[in-house]
Amino acid sequence: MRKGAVVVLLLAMTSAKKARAEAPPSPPGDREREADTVVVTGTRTPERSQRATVKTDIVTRDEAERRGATNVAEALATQPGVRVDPGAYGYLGGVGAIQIQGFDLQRVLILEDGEPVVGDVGGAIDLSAIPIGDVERIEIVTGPTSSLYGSSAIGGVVNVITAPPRRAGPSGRLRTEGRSHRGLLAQGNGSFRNERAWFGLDTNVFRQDGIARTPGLPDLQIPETSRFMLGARGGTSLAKGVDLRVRARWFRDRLDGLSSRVAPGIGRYLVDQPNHTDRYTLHVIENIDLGKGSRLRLTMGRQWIDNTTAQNQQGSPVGERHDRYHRMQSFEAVDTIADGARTWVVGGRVEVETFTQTVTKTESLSSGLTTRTDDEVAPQTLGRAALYGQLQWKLGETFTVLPGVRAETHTRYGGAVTPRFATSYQPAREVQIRASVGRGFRAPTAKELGFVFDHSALGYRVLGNGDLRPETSWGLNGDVTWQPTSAYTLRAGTFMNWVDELIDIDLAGGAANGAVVDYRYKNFGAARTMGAQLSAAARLGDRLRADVSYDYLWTRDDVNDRPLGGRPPHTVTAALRATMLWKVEASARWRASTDAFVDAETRSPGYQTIDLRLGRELWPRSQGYVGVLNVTDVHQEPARLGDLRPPLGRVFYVGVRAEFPSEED
Amino acid sequence: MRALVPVALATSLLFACSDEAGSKPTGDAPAADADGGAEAAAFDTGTELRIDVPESGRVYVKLAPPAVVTPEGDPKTSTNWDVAFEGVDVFTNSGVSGAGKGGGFGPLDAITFIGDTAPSVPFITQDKAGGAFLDWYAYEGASHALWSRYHVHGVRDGSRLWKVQVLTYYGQRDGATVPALYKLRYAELTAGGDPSTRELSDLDGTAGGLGASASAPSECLDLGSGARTMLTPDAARASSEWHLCFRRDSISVNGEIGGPRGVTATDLDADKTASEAIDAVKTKTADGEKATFDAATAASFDGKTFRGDRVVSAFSDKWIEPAKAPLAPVNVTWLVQDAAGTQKFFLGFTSFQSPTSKSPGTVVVRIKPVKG
Repeated sequence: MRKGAVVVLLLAMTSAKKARAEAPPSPPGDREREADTVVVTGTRTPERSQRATVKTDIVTRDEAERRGATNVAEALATQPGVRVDPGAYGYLGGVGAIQIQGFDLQRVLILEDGEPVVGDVGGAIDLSAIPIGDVERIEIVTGPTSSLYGSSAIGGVVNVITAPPRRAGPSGRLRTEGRSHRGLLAQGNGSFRNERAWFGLDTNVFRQDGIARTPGLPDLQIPETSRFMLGARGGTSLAKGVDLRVRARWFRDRLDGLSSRVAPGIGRYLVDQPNHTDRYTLHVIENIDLGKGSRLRLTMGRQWIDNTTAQNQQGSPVGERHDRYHRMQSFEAVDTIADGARTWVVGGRVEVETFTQTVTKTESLSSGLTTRTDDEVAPQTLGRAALYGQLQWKLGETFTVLPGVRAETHTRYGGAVTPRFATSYQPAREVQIRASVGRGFRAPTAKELGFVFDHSALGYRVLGNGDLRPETSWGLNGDVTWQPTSAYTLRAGTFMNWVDELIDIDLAGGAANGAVVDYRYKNFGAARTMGAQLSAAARLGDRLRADVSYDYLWTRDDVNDRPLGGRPPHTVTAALRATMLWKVEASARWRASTDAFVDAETRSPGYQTIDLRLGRELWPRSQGYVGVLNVTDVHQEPARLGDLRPPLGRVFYVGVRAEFPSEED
Repeated sequence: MRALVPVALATSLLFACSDEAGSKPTGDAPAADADGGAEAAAFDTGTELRIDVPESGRVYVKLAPPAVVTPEGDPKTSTNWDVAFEGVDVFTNSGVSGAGKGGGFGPLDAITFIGDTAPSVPFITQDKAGGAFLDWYAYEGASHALWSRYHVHGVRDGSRLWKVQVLTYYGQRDGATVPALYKLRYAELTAGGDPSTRELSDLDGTAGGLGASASAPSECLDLGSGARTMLTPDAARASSEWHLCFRRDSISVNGEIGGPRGVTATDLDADKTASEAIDAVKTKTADGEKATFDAATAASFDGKTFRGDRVVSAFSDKWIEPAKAPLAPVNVTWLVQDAAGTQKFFLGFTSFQSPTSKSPGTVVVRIKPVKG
């Protein structure tokens, strides 16, 4: 594929142009809508993004596709204020984990339509396992948001949002794409909507070859990847003002890694490293219109996650397999009460979570092949109940205050109370000032509570700790937005976070137990992060849009008195999008990160990436496109520890997307 | 965590291999000072303790407050001491040395002593039995691989002497590459005639695998008869039917605390260990090192110290400058855990006063409690 295919597609696009009368330019409404979408994540009430009380960034599906993304991780890879580090988790090389305001590893909450995503592997939710095929937009709220969402919302919240079909009658969407490394993407959606009900089916298929770590060796830097998603959504009106929505999704991810090892005196042998996940989600949502702008939303959810990772010697039964079974059921009721200038949000949520992790080892011993299965995380049942409330009070036309608090009780660690106070002020029509202070927390995970990693034969064990307390944080956020006209936006923001009681393995506090030393998870960490963001956006007519953003991040590990590893202090992101002659839409994104502290002896080098894309309408509501990600082929060096550069080098892609029916609304 | 352990191990190996001998004045032998005053200044803090160490007999030390103590009753069951000195050995109140939960880790960079917080280390080493085969391999942290140094070891049983070279730690079984399946070559050295070299494969040191109990059996070898016997550790310590026992990464000798047979052994190439970098070790092959093995004769072992298994600690063979006369401490920091297993200390040996060939004399050590 590659360059030849790109040329072919360009020719096809040119031919299409010649064959058809020139269609009118894209309606500006699309871009206006994108620039000022209604957002819900920051306050749980619908607000226009440009004037939201809590700053909320948006990546729409269209924008994600312009970025060459096939999944949420790729959609956010160059998002200002966010870092996504695929390949940061050893042999789980495909895991794309997010970092916001310097926090990662379960300190950023991932939601799907407002429901927490569970099922982390290697300590992080894998955003690359969430396809964008049925996604309407991704909302990003930075800073502590535990007052609304509870655990893990320390660094921020990412909410992946789907939506009912916009069109009445039958409609559909299709995207097919070829990529480097024999990558293939197929996304499809078919929907039907009438006045009383709607229904949709979504599917996503993606596969890609494994990417070699070192030329000449079989080891894979990125595993061979195969991801599949099938979703069904529907909604109906049960009565006047009462809507019911049901959404079910099945994700099936198969990541097949391969590594080789050298046994001195024997030679190289191969180890298969599969990482297989099946995730099922079911959500039932009932919206009841209470009149006068008030409404009640009831949500019931259940998630099932079965994950297996293994390291198996090829051609032999000898190996090690880890099986994780994670279940969560939840019920939530949120009442939004409109009371003139005041909007109250009162909610309650109950969750029950179960988690089990076993390890099965097959060893070749003097007595023959021996297989043994042990609990690696003792079966855990965790329950929590929370009540939260928030008042959004518009004091006149220009001033809004938003106090809120959430109280949560947990079956294992007691309670947590997380307040937040946010305010928004518009001293002039074109200026908005926002500030917030809030508390965040992260509950200990089932693994941290019950882990048993037994390497007694090597003299140590790593154990969970049932007495862990939640990590807690305070965060301050503020930003000023100046929008002299709808075409120009300037924004400056800053944040500070203090987090205590960080949970980690206490390597300095091992307790000797005979010849074996036990290391436990403990609440002993403390850290600070602070930073600033400057951004500007300009739209010149309907043909040109430019965005630029500079992010500064400072972090401190207060236990070891050094920066947190893997956080580049300076990042610049620039994007340009233009509609050129012959209706060719061109977009380019450039991102540069400075070098970063990894540990006392290691720094990760700075790097730049450039993404380019050309697209052209083939028929109404369709587009053929070609693109290249990471033009300069920046990538990690094999065996370099802590390398933050992309694991995947240059990627070419070519594809077609279309919506049906093709007539414009 | 899994990633940290090899990194820390590799770091400790790096430290172990990068010690450089400094110039030594006569008389008091200060710690080797490779980096000049800055390193010496590292030991300005903490409390100084002087310990008179005889050539035989054990001296016990309590770290808080630093003092030489005399444990009441049997020192092996007492927790009233943290470290002990005997001849050129240092022991901790842990493992086979005592009933405490102590131990040590090191060597750490001398400058570490300036801090007040224990660094993150992968584990605290407990005292254990070991001997001439203690350094038979070099550990490569990145791949968790054990590379044979191809040292030639002498094993003596009465008047009989064998030379032994470990070829690999890995074997193949059930279609898989399996660790702790030893391959070695050995030959008896006799007064006359060429030795007849034998090679043995798949000596089973798997000992029930990583999750097995400490009593799982492993294979032991009688060099004279070639008999191979599976024995538990307790059975091996009571048996005279073997010379060498293989248990995971350890090779024990049937003498002193290793067993009743009186077997002793020595590492002919022990002097090379400190300077053997892992990359150099990895270039060696069994075929390439055959010449080294063949070149070893009975005369090669003349003057070498043969010993059975003894107690080794984190300090063993690492706290005294190798091949230096008079004896001098290595200029490094040690992390020591007290007998209660609750408090850690930095130890820095600054000098030996009036050392002999069998004792450091008066050991001058700086002791500092640290957090963590």
